[in-house]
Amino acid sequence: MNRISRFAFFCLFISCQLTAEPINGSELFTNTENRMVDISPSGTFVSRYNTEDENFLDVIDRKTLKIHASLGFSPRVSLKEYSWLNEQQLLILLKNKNINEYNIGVFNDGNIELQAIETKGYVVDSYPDNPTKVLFAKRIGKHRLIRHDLFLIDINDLLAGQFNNATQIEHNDDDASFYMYDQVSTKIFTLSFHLENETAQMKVIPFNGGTWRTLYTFSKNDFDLMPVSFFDDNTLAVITNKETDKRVLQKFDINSQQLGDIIYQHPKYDLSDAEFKQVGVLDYVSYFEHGVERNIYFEKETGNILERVNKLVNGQEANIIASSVDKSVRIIFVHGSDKPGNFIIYDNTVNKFTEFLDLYPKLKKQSFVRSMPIRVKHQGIDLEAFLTIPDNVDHKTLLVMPHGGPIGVQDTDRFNKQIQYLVSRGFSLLRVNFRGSAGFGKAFMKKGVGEFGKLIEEDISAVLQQVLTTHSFENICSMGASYGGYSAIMLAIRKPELYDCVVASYGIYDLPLLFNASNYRSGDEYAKVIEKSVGSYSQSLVDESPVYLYKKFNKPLLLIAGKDDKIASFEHSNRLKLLLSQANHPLETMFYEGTGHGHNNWYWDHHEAALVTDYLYRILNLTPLQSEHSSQTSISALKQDFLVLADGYDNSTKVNSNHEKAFEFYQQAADLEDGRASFNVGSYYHRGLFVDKNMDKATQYYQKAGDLGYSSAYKRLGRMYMEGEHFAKDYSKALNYLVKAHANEPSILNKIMLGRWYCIAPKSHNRDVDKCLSLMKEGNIPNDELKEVLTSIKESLAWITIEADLTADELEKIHSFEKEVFKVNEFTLQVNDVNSGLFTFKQASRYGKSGEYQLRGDSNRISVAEVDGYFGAGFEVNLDGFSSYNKRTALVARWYKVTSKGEKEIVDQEFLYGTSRDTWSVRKKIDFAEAGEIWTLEIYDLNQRLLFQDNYEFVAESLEEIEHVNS
Amino acid sequence: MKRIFCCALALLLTSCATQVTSIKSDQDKQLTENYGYLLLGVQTNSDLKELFINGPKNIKLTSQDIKRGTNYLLVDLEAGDYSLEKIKLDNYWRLDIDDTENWTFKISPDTISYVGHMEIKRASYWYGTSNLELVNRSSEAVEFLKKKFPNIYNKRTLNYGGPGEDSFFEFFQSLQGSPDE
Repeated sequence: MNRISRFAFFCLFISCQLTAEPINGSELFTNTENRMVDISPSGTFVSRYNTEDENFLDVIDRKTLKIHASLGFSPRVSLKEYSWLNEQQLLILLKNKNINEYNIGVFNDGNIELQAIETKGYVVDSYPDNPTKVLFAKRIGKHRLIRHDLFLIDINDLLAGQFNNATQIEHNDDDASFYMYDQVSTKIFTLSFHLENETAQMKVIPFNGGTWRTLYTFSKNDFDLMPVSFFDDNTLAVITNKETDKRVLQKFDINSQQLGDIIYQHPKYDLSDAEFKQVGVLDYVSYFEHGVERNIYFEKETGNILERVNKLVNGQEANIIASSVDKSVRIIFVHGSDKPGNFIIYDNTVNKFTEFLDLYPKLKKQSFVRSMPIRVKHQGIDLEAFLTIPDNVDHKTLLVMPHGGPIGVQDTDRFNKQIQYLVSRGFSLLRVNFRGSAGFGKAFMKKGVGEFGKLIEEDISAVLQQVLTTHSFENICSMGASYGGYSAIMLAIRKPELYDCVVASYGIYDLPLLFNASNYRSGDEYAKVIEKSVGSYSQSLVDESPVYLYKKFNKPLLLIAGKDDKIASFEHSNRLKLLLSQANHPLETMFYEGTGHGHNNWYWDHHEAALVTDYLYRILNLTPLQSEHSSQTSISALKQDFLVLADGYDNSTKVNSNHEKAFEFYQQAADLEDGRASFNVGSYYHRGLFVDKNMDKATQYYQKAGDLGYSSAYKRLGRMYMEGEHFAKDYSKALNYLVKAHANEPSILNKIMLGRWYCIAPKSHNRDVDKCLSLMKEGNIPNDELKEVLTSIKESLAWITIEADLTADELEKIHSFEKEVFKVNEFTLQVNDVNSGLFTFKQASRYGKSGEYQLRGDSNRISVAEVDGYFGAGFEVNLDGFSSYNKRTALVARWYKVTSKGEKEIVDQEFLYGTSRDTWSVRKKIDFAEAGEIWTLEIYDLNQRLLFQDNYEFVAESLEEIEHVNS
Repeated sequence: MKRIFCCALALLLTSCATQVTSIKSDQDKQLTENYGYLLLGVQTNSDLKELFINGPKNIKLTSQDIKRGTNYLLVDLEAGDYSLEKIKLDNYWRLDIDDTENWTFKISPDTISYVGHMEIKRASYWYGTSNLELVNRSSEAVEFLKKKFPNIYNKRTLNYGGPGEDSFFEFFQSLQGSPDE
């Protein structure tokens, strides 16, 4: 019900005030919230897959826009695809732990109930001629002998696994196993692959079965040929450029396998798509003009609808994506450079358009900037480009952005997250479809081959020159990825007077290396592929390679690369870095670990966009966006940028740790009143990480973070008052903070810390062990938090064991808890055969064997120079009676240190559990310690008895000097 | 009979491989005539057991030198063409190289021959299926030598002996001046 009301609220919230502000990267760089939008056969319902907070498939009443039925998915299950079978049933394909599961979804009292199709195989398609039936490919045979038989089967029979009444579609080829159904021509298709000659055959049979007929054989060609539809029984309509410069819609005779008459060709552009209403009746063709997909309609009805939509949306793209069977209701997707996209319902019966859904509802209030098309004639070639100028904050800074490829790739002017992110931060952007780009015919494309660093960059420069005649900029930088990264540097080398800086990502900088990247990316066959873009291999490529031209490159550079990039191998970027850093070039790098030719995760796209923005602001000395006049939305967007950068440097798998930069960005976010950032700044002061340890500053930032609503900060302050860290122990203040933390966020970790207070507090403060243990046990622990929660419980038990002044009865209750959680059943133990001192880890000499810690010296004086060493103790645990794996015990170890200034500080404590047959040890790496410190290790049993204590004095002398003195 | 002979021969060849370990000390030594340094990178996502290379001298790398992560082998060997023969992933899985032509590299006398980084990516702990590639990562090889073996690097010419052609080392070393010989 809550879900239904939320949706209704969303639908009401249509009008809004648009403001131009920095876009929030964490809202922009995300998956679409609404997708897979469809309509029921009669048009009564529309449907969508919504991934806003959790994942839902919603069926919505088309007239009221209220949710009629809904299906929620657990995080482990994703919706791969679905389709309408009839007004009551959906065919739903789920992916569960990498296994595809076909289901029939039936509406029942606001829910979509799933009925699983148990028969092995796959659903080929629905069957509109009889909505109670589907085409199903039933799996036959096992392992390598798997094939599929094709049936037209009643849905209920399929659910029951009953194929007796199903109609098998017989055909003559046992190899045909992958079936497709074309509802326009009512024919069944298959594709068969022939690896030996690298071809694939498209074959067809009539719906009633019979003999497969080869339509077309795909092979490696220098031309494109894409079947679109049947034109008549013996003729296909294909989009091809085999005989023409442009991709045209052309007839293809199936019997002779020859091309025939051209059905439609655009005088200037390649066709990107075509659609037939029925066999032989062309509905529309599509092509890209100025980066926007345009349609030419041949069917009056479709054309009329979209002509009206086009007037409404003012130059944006509009595509019909779904229709009811009688075409009376349509869903139209509208999008453009300044519009992420929304879905409109058109009801032909009442001639009405209704706004339905946005792809990104969170961005609805955000205004975006539309690009302006530019046309330039250069050396007799028509070039198309797009210029995007900010409509609010304008730093008068132009980023010239060559696209990747470069051959056969086209920059479009559709909604582009990176462009809108940058323009909202005050940058202008210029993108050019230079020679070699796709969409303008074969001749235009071939003009770019071998023109790396030459005519391609001349095209870009020509467009830039024209832009500069009408616009003025204070700064110009080049920026691009892949070929665009190469081009960005070459532009600055060729026209150094124009450019102030360069941002190059995932680029190629050593052209000969393209032919010699590895054993499998070299040789004659591989060279033929590369030559199609770069031209022939020769040493002259050196003259167009930034690596070998590095002395001519004198602009500040931000170099971004993925260390696992297999397309533009990391070696390109590293070579350039090696040379430029040796030459003390103004160079900054971001080499992402575990990353290929770009990111596969929106989070890191946001990171990269924020990184580039930060770089440009610093290098060009631009005025920061944040000011006292900034709106909360702007501040929130900027905080997210600082946080994503700080988190990357602080602790991430992809960015090398850099505490200085992490602190700097946390500080900037904290200055904008961000709670988590304030907490982290406090934590840096607390740990003395990058900054000098300063507990006063640390606690000030913790207080600020807590006041800003970050509950971990109050928890931290509560713990410090409880443990007497920095502050004198104050149980009242501790409780106050811990209660506030729990009230702000009743998380399991906050409960555990509050529970700890109830175990440790003196009787005078109403210690309550029952409450303590109930708080620690409260709540279901999600699997992904289990480790963190257990660590917190162990820390708490360790602290309670050492510090709490417990009665025998209270101790017994805690033992019961330890018994329950850690299966401890022996509480009395002795520690024997203790080896205490300096340890080194010795790798095993044999493959597969574990290494071991070896006692190197039992002196209590330890050299800090032994940075790879460890200190502490290894020991045996003795229990009463026979040794057994069934006897489980536990102990607590505490580390504290006295610094060279005489300050005593508890470092941490550990809760260890196991059996007497296990190997027990408590060690720390030597690089934790500093010369002049004395560390103490104490070991307690769970009855709070001190079993062992030893001191370790850290000295600057070497190990040899210590041993010499000892001897 | 022929089968038994082949097995015996295979055992003999395997047993002939000399275990080599990477040079630990940065002291350039007087190389035997027609010897050169081999520099090989091995990047693997799991600890490997053994790696066999055939050539003028058959060698094997053992688990100590081919641990998870990036490893470098710098060792002096007789000059000539070498090729990867097989990799023992663990006690149960072995990869035999049957496209030797793609795994052949050259050690030149008196120089350091960097021959590439063997990148070994095992798909799963339980199965032997792996992606293998010999990748040209010359700039990382330079960085490694300059950091770990500056003396040897300064005294020897570095050349590329891996698949394909590459003039980067010549260019790079021409910027540094002639080797100190």
